[in-house]
Amino acid sequence: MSKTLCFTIDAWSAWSSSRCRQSDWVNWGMEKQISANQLPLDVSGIPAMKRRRMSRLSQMAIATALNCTNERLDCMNGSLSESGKHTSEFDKAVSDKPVPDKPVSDKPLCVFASKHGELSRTVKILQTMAAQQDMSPASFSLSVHNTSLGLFSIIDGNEQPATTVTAGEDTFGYGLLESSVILSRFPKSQVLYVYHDEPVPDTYSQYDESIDESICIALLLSATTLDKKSSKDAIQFSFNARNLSDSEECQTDSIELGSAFLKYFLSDRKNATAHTPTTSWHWGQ
Amino acid sequence: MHELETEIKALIIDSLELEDVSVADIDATEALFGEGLGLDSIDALELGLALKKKYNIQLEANSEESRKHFYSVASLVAFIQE
Repeated sequence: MSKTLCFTIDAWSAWSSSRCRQSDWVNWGMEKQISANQLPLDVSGIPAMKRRRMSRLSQMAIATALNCTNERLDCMNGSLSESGKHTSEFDKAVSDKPVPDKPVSDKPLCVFASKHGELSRTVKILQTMAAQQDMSPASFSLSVHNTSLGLFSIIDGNEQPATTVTAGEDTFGYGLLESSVILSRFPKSQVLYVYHDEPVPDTYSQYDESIDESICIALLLSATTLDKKSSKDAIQFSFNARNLSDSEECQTDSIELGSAFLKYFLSDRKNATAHTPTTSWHWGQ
Repeated sequence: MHELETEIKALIIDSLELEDVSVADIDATEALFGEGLGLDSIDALELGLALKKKYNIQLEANSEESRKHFYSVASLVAFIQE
């Protein structure tokens, strides 16, 4: 078993095709009935001129990340003057001015994780090349793995160090590991961790069926201090490689790793383990 | 003239995914980039590609001439009619 790492969840937000509202996720975590009303992704927090070229994946990641960071502002300050301050900060970001004039350390460091990133866009570019047509410059410029992270940093005016992670079916877990390592290095900072993925394009669907719906999980994390240790939001985790030769029928969870984590976090269970083909992930309080 | 103007406005909206803008919102003499419609350098490349596909015209990326042609819808109309 690996060393145990820990972090505290200060705020969270999630969106998937079938669970659109925060309450849907809470009910789902508690094994209650969830609303059958599906709502489209609310992208009103992203300025229209910035949003127009974004893929659905990036829109989902950025809208969910903004929801998560706004929730932090709401619960930290709550007062009218503070929400006013937030609006003006947002307006500055909208008006394309360089960066809000405030201490850089106010913003969280960012870790974004995605198994396939902007694969849908890449497939379209490859199809254009195969047809010997000119490729779209806008699409080309947004076809990298850190597209959503880059766009988020511009919209949020966040100049903190940031990184993206991809690690196959363990992507969510390794993103969490990266976030925890950053917190142990910078214990006074917060880390915004955004996991996001969508089903692979039809061309590749026979090779990867692990993601059955678009999903984004945004967690605002901080180091677990002594006073937070007994809180339900303080979480420990560890992971170990599965010894595949142990049993012929090495079972893998049908639920995707990020969803498995969130289900644990929103339930009243004390601990949980999730299995991917190569790794077992353990979470506990 | 008027028809080509509308056609180019529609091409701009379509190729640059300006979902909140209609043909009537674009002033033919107004600047497309920076102030005015607020387009950026990626839009310039994208629009160049769309014009090439539709009207088979080639624009040099960094020339002063292209800058003039790209100033507004009206200047693009004049250039295409040449």
